[in-house]
Amino acid sequence: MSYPAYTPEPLIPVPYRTKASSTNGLAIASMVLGIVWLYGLGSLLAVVFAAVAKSQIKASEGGQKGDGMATAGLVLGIVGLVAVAFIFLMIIAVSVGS
Amino acid sequence: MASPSQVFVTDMPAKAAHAAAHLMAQHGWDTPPAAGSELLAHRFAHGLDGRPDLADAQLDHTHSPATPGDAVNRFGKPAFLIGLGAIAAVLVYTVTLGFSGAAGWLVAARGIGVAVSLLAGTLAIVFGSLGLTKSPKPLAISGLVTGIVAVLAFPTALIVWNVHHRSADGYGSFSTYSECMADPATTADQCNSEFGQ
Repeated sequence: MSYPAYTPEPLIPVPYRTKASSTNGLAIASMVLGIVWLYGLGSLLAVVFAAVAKSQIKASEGGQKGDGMATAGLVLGIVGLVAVAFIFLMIIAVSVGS
Repeated sequence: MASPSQVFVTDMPAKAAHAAAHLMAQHGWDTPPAAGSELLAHRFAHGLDGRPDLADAQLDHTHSPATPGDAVNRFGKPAFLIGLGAIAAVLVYTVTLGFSGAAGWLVAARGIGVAVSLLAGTLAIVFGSLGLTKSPKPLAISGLVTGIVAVLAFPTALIVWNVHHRSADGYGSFSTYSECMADPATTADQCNSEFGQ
């Protein structure tokens, strides 16, 4: 039995591609917790998660996205903690005044 | 043998045509560019081949030929506009705090102002932060700052209002029961005690 002569397909150069990047889960969690606040508890967790997420995103060297979300979580967390401090101070002032 | 650019043009004619029109509009060319290194580089920069926008910071401009080259940060502009809305809401409830009494419209304006300022301020912070990863950044930074100011304005106003309206006896200086109840810093128990209700 004879086989037809193998003729290879012409090689077509494949353009440079990077691996598909996913969004960091902690960055999403950080942003959500920063938004919901939860009387300051969410803000505290948002700051912690944002710090961890940023380090993970940096370590992935482009493999993960979500730096903006982590920043949002960090800022919202700090703002939420400052707001808690303000309210705490007000409660103390009212208690002292009465 | 086909070059990479020829392969792209053959495989994705619509995207290639878009990139060509884009280049013409942006650079003021009268004729479409040949499928060569410039077209390929431009399409790479826009992620038209499926890659992430690696050069997004440099080339994140609108795809409308009517405004070639105009830099648009798709998060920055909304952040700034929402931040302005939040500041406007802060002004609304700050101004209404200057009126005494407990008229329905006054209480409603305060409530809506506080709610809108907190929600819009939070949104402005989120959009501003996301916009920081894009270019140009000024609008994103402005949105971020206005959002922070709007969110922190509420506890600040609460403290100022409380200090301003509270007398030495700790129960406030209100002339009527309804005025006492309208004060966000007082509780019903305090007002009941003050006015013997």
